[in-house]
Amino acid sequence: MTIHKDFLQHHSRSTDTVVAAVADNCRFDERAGVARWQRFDDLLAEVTAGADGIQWQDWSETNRLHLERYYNVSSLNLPDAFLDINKDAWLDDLSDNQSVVRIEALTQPLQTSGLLLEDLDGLLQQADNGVSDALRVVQIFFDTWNQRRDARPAFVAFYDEVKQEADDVDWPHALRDRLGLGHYGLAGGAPLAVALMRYPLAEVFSAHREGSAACAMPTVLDNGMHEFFFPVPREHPYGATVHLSPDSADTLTAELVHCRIDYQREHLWRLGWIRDPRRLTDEQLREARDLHLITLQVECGREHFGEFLEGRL
Amino acid sequence: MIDRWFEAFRGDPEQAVADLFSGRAGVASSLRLDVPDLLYQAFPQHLASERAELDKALLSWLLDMRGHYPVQVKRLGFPVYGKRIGDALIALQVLDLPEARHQIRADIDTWLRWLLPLRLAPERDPALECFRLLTRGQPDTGHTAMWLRLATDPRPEYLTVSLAGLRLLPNQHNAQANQTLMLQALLRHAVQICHEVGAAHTFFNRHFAALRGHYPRGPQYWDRILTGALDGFVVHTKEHITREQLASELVDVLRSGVVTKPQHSKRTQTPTPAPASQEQWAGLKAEILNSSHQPETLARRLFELLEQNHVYAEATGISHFFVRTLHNLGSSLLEHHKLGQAEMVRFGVMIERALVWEPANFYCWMLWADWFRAQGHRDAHESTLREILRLFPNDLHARVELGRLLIRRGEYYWDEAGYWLQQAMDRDPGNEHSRVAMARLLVLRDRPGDAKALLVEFLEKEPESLKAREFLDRMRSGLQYASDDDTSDAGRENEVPATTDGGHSSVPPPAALTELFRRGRLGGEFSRARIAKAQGGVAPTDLIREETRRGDPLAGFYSQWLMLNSTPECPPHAWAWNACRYWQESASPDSWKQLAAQFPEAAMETDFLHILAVSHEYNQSGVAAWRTRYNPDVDAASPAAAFMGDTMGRIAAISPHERDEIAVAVLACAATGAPEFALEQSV
Repeated sequence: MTIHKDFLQHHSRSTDTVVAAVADNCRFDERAGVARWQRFDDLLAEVTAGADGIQWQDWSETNRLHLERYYNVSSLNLPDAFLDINKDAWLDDLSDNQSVVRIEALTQPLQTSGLLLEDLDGLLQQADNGVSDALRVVQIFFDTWNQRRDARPAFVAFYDEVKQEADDVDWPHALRDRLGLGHYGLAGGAPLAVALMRYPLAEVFSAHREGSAACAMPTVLDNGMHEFFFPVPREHPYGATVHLSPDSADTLTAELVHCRIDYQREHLWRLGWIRDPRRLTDEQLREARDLHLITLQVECGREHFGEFLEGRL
Repeated sequence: MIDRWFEAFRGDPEQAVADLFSGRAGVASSLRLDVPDLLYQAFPQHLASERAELDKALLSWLLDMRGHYPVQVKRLGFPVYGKRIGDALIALQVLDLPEARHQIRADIDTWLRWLLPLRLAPERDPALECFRLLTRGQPDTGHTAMWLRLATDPRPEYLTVSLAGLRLLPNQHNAQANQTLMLQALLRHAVQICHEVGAAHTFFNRHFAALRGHYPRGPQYWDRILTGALDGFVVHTKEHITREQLASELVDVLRSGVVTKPQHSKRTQTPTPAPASQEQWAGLKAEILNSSHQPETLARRLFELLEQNHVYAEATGISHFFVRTLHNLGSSLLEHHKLGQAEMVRFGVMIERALVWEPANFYCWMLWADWFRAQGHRDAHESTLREILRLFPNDLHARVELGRLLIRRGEYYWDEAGYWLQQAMDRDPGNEHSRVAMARLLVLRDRPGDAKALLVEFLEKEPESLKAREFLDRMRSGLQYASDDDTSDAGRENEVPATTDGGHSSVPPPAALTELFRRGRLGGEFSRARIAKAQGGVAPTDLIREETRRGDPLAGFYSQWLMLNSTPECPPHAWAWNACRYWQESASPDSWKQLAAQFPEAAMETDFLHILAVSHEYNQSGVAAWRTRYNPDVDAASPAAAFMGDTMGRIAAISPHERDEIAVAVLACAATGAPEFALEQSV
């Protein structure tokens, strides 16, 4: 990280733990290269107005703009994560016979197809039992879903590493917590229909475009400016999720991002609901991030990587 | 963080929504979601008053983004601007917010004009998201025609939305009507995208099976629905399907698969509306032409037939009977009888309905022009004629009509009148109306000698032309040779109707009429500017500039053609604006191919322009391939296809000047569709 050190240093001392966490993510990231940060800085210059210098809102606005330009790109384009500009974070040596999992929110796909989650569940069962009309509905459900998906990087974890949570009866919450998906489930919010996707990496490798990467390590510039992301030291082979349960914050789960693939029936493994939020107090969040950091330091032999929140104020 | 944002929302919903889209709401886990997903979670059903506030705030934000188009596009760039607009529309969908949806439905044409050029990809298509939004909460069947029209778009995502729109039509507990219409949509799409019957059959069967999967019923039920859809499709095919042979083969294949005979069980069958009978039609026709019935009585009977046929159209998707009855009997009624104001108002509504169903129906457009003329709405009459010339580039009648009208408007318009009349004369040398109108114009311009010479020359070739002879005789005998109808009204204020009810109300004109006037003014500016430019002069282009700044695709094309170097960057999906640049830059074959791929719905026009651009290197095989691929010579070909087909027939002989004229016509025609009417009943 090479830009605006003082600004980030200042905000890393914020009493708002989320702000401090995001500033830390920017300070600690060792994978997003100079060119990617330069893009961010160019946008920041456009956003920042007046003589007061950069405000935190400017940073946050720039993050949104940066994501919209270079991360949430349309299906006709490729996000920065898989382009040369991010070569330092590419993951080239993955074995293609490993299965990965991810959680997908189904609100829009279901609505687009005029289905409820229960309808889809029933149709999937019928289709799997050979009912041909149901099979067609399911195929068209996937066609329609794919029509509406852009090319943003997909965060995944290795199935064999999270098998316990993925196989759990209450997999939506167990996996949500393990993968650090704090944005799924708001207190008092609407329940969220979700799907558990599972597929071999071979599918990803066969879908990726020549001249680009299929997989990469997630960096802070890949939608990592939030409290449940934590950059890893350069020595770490993958990203590492922040467990939403403070007691388990020393569990590092490998994560990576891969390029867009078209979903098919065999990719959809399970359906479920996320109804319960996972809320952490400021204190819990600080403790969890510090515990996560210690584990990273130990795993990578980098005792000076990052900085603890404890004692900072 | 979301709690803090929600607190801000309660204080100032509009600012909070603006901050959410801009990113100034903050950075946090909950805010990493796309806006629709975040709002969906944050506003569950029980927060009724907050959802109502959100509804208003999202609409306000959208209107603000539309109002500040140039600034926002400059700041964000088209991809981000388009994504945010699309996200707001998706948020309205997933939260099922009714107020903004109602407002958008009421003014759909204005919204689509803004949204259509912003498409980047299948999943980044704000106009499609707008259509998708309107599939929900439909108050009546007023959008049936729009959904069926979407099905003829070759893009699969448009079919998806078309089917959703038809599925969600209010049906008074009669799902059969919806299912029949959905099968109609599938048939229309199948013959649009497939080139041979095997592929069309496979495509149709796949989707038909999915429909059966959605609505599990017995095979007899579905055979009956399919039979009904096929019957309707056969009627529709002759008038509207370019690949008639393919359509016919597809129908045969599908009929052969119907294993059960249609049953007429009262228990299971809902009565299907029927169109008015041929006897009723013929009887009324005879009475309109011959009887001494009161016009009100004839009009009432016509409206009854039209209402019956319209109910049939909405139930089956077959507009043939409604539209043909209107333009056939309606034209006769208008020609032979003077209708009262109440009848004229209702007549106008019928024409607008017909244009909803068949926006590219030439006869309906001409009927509308006649209706405006009969009502004395000169501005609307002029705008309609201009739109006819844009949508039907081959038409001569509208050229002559417009020429006559412009002569009456005064000297400022006479250059343009001459331009249109000259075109009509060139394209049909045997047409006396254009000669007589041109002679009148020459007389008004103090060139009686030229007028006489024009008519003398014409009469030598067409000695039976009575009007030309009569006009020449009057000139020679020194009589008044410009009839009252054709004298100038220079300096007189031309009325702009506030409504279609004759201008007696202060109610603002319907959106479609406003749009018609806008296009008319744009078209007028464009024509006059081109003529002035050719004469080495300059004519005002204020409206074109203003509308281009707002991203309007038609104005943008006009601007690009006229002001190559001062036209702003074009939006990603404004075909004519884009293609005009290619034309001006003499783009490479690869660039044209790229353009055709980017705009599959305008592939025919793109390929045509490419061939036209290099017509000096006449390429016979290219022309033949174009003909084979787009089939422009059949009866059901679109007006633009027919025009391009005619041009292809003589492409090697086209002069550079005419080449430009043809390119302008094709570009203008495809720059934007016909106005999308939001009829009162569908609001």
